This record gives sequence, structure tokens and C-alpha cells, in this order.
Amino acid sequence: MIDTPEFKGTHLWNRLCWAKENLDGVQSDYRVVYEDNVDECAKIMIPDPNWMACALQGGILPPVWVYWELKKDEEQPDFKKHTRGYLLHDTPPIGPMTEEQAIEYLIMKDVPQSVWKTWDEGNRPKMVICKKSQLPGTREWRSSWRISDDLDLAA
Amino acid sequence: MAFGIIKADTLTHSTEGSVDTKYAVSGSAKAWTSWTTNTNHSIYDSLNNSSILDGGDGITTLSYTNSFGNVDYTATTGTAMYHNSGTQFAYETWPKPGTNATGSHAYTGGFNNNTGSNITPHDMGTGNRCYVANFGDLA
Repeated sequence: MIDTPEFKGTHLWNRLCWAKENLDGVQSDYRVVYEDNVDECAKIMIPDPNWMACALQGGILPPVWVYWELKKDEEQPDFKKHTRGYLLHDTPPIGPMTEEQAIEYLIMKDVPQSVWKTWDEGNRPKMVICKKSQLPGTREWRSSWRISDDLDLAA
Repeated sequence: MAFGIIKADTLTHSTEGSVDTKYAVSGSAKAWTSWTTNTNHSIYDSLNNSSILDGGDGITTLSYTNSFGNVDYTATTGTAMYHNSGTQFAYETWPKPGTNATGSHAYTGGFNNNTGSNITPHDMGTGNRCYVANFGDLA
């Protein structure tokens, strides 16, 4: 396994370019299913294989709280452009994660906070982590598909 | 392993003149993704993408690892697909209006039936691909 260069203050995009050149993509079998709108079908998040390679490698991705800070900035009514992008580049990258830890990180990055912070509150879970094989095989069913009781937590 | 850096503001050719390197930096795609919407989405390859979200028939949201600096970045889209049936002539992918955030952007795909009617969001067939490349300033 190749060692990650010691990225200190290296622009995140340059770190991603290094990973693209040096790491093989990792196709994860995990899928994250969640519901955030009662009028819409369940949504399915698929991890990116190159991103997953960065997560498993370590030393490339910023801590997830950086994304929360940028999200807070963007939610301000007078937001025009990011002025704290340096958080992505200057915050020391986090170490290697397991695939399961990477999925949890990705949930906290790309799934709405309103979903993952209260995923198990209410009558039934509004988010589950499952395997790709547990998803409906045809779009006819998928478009009206909801999280069901038999879709067990896989991680 | 060393991480080499060459700093230059200008590239000069021996006979063809010079170009400012900011054109290369500003003009390069900052994110690109190749994926399929065939029933259950999957990603073929990418740069600066962290996940895709299957939001229903023909709806895909791409999330970026390095967010864009503002929401005014651009996207070029494309598709590669086989002829699906006698009434479905081409598959098109386009940015979904109102979904552009600095960290993500949704896209819609659907068949152009060449009838002048609106295109209905729809998945692609087996083996087909959607492409998006994003250009803009990074955060």
C-alpha cells in the first residue's frame, strides 16, 4: 500500500488529484436509504469509489465538521461565496477509516442533518444502512418504494 | 514521497507565444462524474465527487468533496445510450433548476421523444452512462 504524502496546508483538490493518480477506486457494497419528504420515494446514497479509496487510505479528507461549518455559512441569507474555504485545505486531514466508519462520515457529510440526527425518532426509522442486494431490483417498484421493516440495518 | 510543486504564472512556447497559467487553473474541470441510472445507480469513475444520490426515476444528486466557492459554477452534461425503443429517440441529462448548492447539485435525465412535449424524468437502460463535468471556482 502506498504511503500518503504528509499534506500540510495542501489544497484539498490537489490532495484529491494525488489520490486519483495513485489509489484504485473501492466500490462499496453499502447503500444508505433515507426518507426526507413524505411525498417522495426513498432516496439512496451511493458512495463514490474514489472517495472511498481516500477514506480508507487516510491523510487526504478533512474532518467532517469542516463541511458543517461551510454548510452553516451557505445557509446565511446574505451568502454570496465561501470565505472560509481554507478550512478544507488547512485543517489537518483525518487518518484512515474502516469502510463502516467511512459510511458514517459520508452520512454526516451528504445526508441532510434533519435526517441523520433524528433517524430513529418517530414510528419507524427514516434512514437505514443496507447492502446493494437489498434494494429493489426494478424501477417500477423503486419509484414508490419506502423503507420497510424487513430492510434491516447492515452496519 | 515528495509532492512536487512548480510555480509559474506564464507558459511560453518557443514560437507560438505565451499563455497565462490562470487560464489552465480557472478553465479546468473541478469535478466530473460518470454514472448510470439503470434501476440502481452506480458510479463508474469521477474526480472530486463523494457520493451520488438516487432521488427517484432519472433524478441524481452529485456531492462534491471540495465544495465550490459559490453556486454559480457551470456544468456540461452528456449521455451515452443505446436506442431504447421506437418512441424514445435520445436520452438527455440536464441540471435540475434550483438545486445548485456549493457542495452538491441535482441532475435530471429523461428521454426526448421528439414530440415537442416535455421530457419525463426516466432512468437509462442497461449499460448506458451519464456524464457531468463542473467548471468554476473552488472554495
